[in-house]
Amino acid sequence: MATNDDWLAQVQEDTIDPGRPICDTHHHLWDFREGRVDSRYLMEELQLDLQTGHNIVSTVFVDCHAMYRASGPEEMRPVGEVEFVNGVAAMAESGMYGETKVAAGIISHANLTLGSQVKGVLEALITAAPDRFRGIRHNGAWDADPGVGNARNVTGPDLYLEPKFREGFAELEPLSLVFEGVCRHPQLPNFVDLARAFPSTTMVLNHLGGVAGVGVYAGKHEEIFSEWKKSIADLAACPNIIMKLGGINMEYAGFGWHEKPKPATSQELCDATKRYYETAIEHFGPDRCMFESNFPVDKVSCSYHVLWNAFKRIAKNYSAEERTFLFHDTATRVYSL
Amino acid sequence: MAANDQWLAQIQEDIIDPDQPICDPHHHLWGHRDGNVEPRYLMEEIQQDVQSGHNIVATVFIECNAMYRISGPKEMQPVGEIEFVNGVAAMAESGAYGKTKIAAGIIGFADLQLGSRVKGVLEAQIAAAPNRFRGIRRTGAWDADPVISSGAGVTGPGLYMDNTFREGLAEIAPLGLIFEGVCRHPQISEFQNLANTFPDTTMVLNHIGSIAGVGRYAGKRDEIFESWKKDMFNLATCPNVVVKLGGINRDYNGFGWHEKPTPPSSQELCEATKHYYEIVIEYFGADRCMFESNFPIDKVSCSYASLWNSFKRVAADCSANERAQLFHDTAARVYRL
Repeated sequence: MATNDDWLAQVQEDTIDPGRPICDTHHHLWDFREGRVDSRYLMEELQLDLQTGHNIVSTVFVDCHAMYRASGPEEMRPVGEVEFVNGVAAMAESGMYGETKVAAGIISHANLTLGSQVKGVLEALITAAPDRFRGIRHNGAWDADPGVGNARNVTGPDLYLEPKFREGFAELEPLSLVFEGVCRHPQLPNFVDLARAFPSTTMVLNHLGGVAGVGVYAGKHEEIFSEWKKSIADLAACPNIIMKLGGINMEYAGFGWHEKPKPATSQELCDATKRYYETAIEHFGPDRCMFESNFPVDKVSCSYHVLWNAFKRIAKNYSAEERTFLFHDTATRVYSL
Repeated sequence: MAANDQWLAQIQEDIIDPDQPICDPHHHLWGHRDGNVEPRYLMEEIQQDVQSGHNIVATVFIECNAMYRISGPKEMQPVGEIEFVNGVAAMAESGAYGKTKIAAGIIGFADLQLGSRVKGVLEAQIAAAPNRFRGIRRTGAWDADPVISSGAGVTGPGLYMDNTFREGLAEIAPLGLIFEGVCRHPQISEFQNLANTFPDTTMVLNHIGSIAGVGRYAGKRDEIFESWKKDMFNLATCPNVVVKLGGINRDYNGFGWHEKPTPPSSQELCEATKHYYEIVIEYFGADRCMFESNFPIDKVSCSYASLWNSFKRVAADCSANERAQLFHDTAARVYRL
């Protein structure tokens, strides 16, 4: 049960293109999580979303500080998250909960500022889910305006430029692991710099680059869009960057959906956000883009069902092959599913 | 929620010796199990039991055909159970659910009748939970009387005498694993034969040899006690055999607890079963015995709190050192916890 179930239920839609195979490339699983509409998001809660009409064939779990070990060396605590999620994936593969291969790919966390020492952590993460672990996310999001929201343990704007961080980062590619990054849009040049420094490492940029629209950014959508668009061109010039399309319905994006008496319809979501997706797809190409739900975080604004309907509206004018990339094939390639 | 919660709630007892550290070396976990009082026995349900007053510091999961993979090679399907349980263990180690290290040890299933080929399955299970997987159970329980339940996939007596089975069993000890066996009391000599043949393999006999008391064994309790006692005396000569004390409150054991208007008190359980446990402790010594809940199977007859109270009554006359072994230390040694 999400705290906003009743509010979300006001919008009921038919499922667009229900047969289309989808890999949801970005969701979380957790328990006892304060401040989210789903404080508990485990197998049952996820299934309630997955089974709302779209054909979700597989998912990728992304790091969220879930089930970290309560003891042992600090740097190894995220191994608990991988073990936990691998267990949920096994439950899914029993077939008893539905047809979706939940967490067929797992992205967890390792502290790259450990430098080359992080290799031991990465190896432990691989060992914890040898068939499913695919890489780590180290969130670098930071903004001078506290209203925008910073990532855990990030104390300044330039994490991705730090030598020690990059020393750790260098351990990913030899282990065939993917890096997932999160920025706020003013930090995108840092992500470009990182991508240029490590051209052989696959780098997935979360949430369309983290366009902020609250605090100091409130009311500046047009100006920020132009600035963001320039960054997108620079990012797309790095062939090792993959873009995740989604995650822009969180509070900090500034659309204010969650403050309205009724949630947005998929048409409204599409109308308000389509240009971000189209710009990203235009620059990266569909084979370097993949839709993501970012659930249950983005559930604050819309239901899982309406969100994927919005994505299908956004993708309507692309070719069948392009849509296959956007909804499924880019993800299965990037995450080796 | 167990189907018999209200019935069980009729017995409320103070916890005996509530600080005694306990390792429960035998319980199950499952998501959908028809015919059991707990059709769902996952983290929340087991926490309700382990937090009912006794000091359960760790547990060992025992295979129960849970979350087997729905596809892939048949012999590898039980690997799903290991991944699933390892995930639950990681959740427990997050500390978010309580202090018990749930499934600190994991006993899975592998079809030993694959012969030496089973090695690949065992290696896959080790890889699925490198820090917790400890061995496999293969039940050999069978009885000519269909009223006495036989083990899954067991079609006749003598499984433990089968040459291909033994070829498979030979793969266990070299991998540092242990074997858990189940029989019905007339089959204890088969188990002993197996133990004699593999003196380097630690062999855990479940449920004190599973004394049947229904069907063709109904009304012969004293006669069966004498023959069982002889068999256990002989079995104790095998230094590689460890016995689990418990699992004798099921319907086939014939005490009929579940058919009474109120569940047994721990005193009643103790009086009805004490002589069995005392014999085993006398023959094997406390360092080769360990109390087990066999939950939620035995929950058909009594609550978790009453069951461990009954064990504490049974062990009341043992020395402090013996009690430490019976409730914790033997298990910690056997399962390397």
